[in-house]
Amino acid sequence: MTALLQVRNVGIEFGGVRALQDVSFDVDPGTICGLIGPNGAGKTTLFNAISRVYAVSRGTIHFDNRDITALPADRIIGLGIARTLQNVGLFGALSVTENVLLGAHHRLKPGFINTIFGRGAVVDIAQIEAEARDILRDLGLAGVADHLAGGLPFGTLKRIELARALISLPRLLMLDEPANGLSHGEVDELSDVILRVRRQYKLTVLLVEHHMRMLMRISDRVVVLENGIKIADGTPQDVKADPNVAAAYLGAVT
Amino acid sequence: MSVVVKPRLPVAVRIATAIVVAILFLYVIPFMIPNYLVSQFATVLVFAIAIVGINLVTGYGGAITLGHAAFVALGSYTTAILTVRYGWNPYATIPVAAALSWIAGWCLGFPALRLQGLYLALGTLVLSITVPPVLKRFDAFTGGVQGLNVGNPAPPASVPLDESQWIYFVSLAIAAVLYVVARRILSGPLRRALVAARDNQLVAAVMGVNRARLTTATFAMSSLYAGVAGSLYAMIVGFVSPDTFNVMMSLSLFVGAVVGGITSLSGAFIGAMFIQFVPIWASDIDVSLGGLVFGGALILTLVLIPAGVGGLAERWYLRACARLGWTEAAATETAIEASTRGAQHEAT
Repeated sequence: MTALLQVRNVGIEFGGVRALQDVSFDVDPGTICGLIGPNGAGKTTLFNAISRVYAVSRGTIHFDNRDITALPADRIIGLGIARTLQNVGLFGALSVTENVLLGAHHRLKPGFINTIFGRGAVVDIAQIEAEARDILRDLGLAGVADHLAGGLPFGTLKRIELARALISLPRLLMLDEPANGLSHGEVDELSDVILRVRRQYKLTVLLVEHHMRMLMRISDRVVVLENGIKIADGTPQDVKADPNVAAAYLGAVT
Repeated sequence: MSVVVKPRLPVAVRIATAIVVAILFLYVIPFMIPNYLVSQFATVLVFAIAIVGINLVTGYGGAITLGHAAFVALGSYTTAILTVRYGWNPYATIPVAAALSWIAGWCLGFPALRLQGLYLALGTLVLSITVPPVLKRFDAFTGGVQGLNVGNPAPPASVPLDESQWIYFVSLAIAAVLYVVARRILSGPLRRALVAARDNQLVAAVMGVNRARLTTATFAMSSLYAGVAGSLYAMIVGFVSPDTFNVMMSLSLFVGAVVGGITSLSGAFIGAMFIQFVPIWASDIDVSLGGLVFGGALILTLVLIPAGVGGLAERWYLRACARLGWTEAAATETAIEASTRGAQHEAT
């Protein structure tokens, strides 16, 4: 079985700053891979590299055996990689349903000609709207479907973003700090939701999270970054026992 | 937290509204008011078409353009040159004007939309500064400073209308079609993509929206609107000359879009009325104070109703619909509470 996502020797530089150096790891299909590291370790940078928002200076990224290292960012979601953003990238001027439907943009492929003459769409709009309703109901968001996304509570926004990622029919779901700003009860609920949607939508998940208990509980594998370098990679138990990881988080003991 | 109101008017109200609008546009304006005003209202419709184009590119595309007069000029001169020099039927020139300005929009939009914000505004401003001198330079073709005499197209013999009524109805029909087209563009997936590309480029890209392509297509569509407006303008005025399509016209159209409401399509007609009639009324009050009154009226509008007249009217309309219960089943407050129950539960 080949890995769904293969990151090989990836390096990213901003001016003289090396944000990532020689990072390599695989994510196997159907697994949940956790990505941890202290602030500034390069976790979100790595996410941005995979979703092609940042240019990669060195190395390659393969998804489903296809080299995506040089693809434009707007092509990624169509390949089956969906992500959420650390600080929530929803549009306050659009309703919750519209925000979710935006996740299906690549499925609808709306052009001016199609839209004006009301035909030619690859997928039936009504069918995708029904999907959006189902996903919203599934995630307990049916009640806010017609609200503007602006002004809703943070935990709700996080779930809307998840709904938007799911409607894109991803194979790889990348979640950037989904538990950030959630209360304890909500974090447990979120873990269950992630495990459930992985099963339901047959997903592979790449997860950045500071919430250690949650990450260790649901990850099959954990990759640890520090200062842009991978310092550990293994099962949650291995990583917990790794002295390098403890040093990175608690300061060097040697 | 605000619920998006989806108005659903009772059938009787819808029919009544349609009748009132029909009486206004099909009877009161063409038959009840003096003749010279009818052709001014035809101009209003033409400005409204161009303003709808600005609504698309600025309101939803997020690109400030101060060069729309250039595309109006392209449409006008297409019609003028084809009718005067090649003896075309004026109506047959409208699709040609539309196609040419659409193509010009693609060609100019491609480099122009790589410019951001104020730089784009300046770039398009330069475009509209360039147009009159260029038109004057190629006088063998464009008639130079003298312009070209297009003449008002006469109504068909079987139609009992005078020239201004006829061109008014022609403009009305085309404006109505283009209004419906714009409404369609701004419904559903394309509107979401436009808003996304306008409000957050990074997230739009992550969602698979190709912003460069989308905004260029929007710019082209907006140029098409301006071109059709220009074609009709040539027929209404019966005459084209380079200095009509100067920077003032670009600015004036932009002002119309802002006063009507930059994202409000129905406001386009109000904005067009503003730029057509307010300068005339202002100079009636005092010739030397004309510009001052126009400017004052503009500043007042911007200060009092930044969303524009159309934006304000739409807000009132939605509020009225919500109050009268003329909506699709909206979410209730209890449902909202249910969705946030987890958070509140933890907080207590």
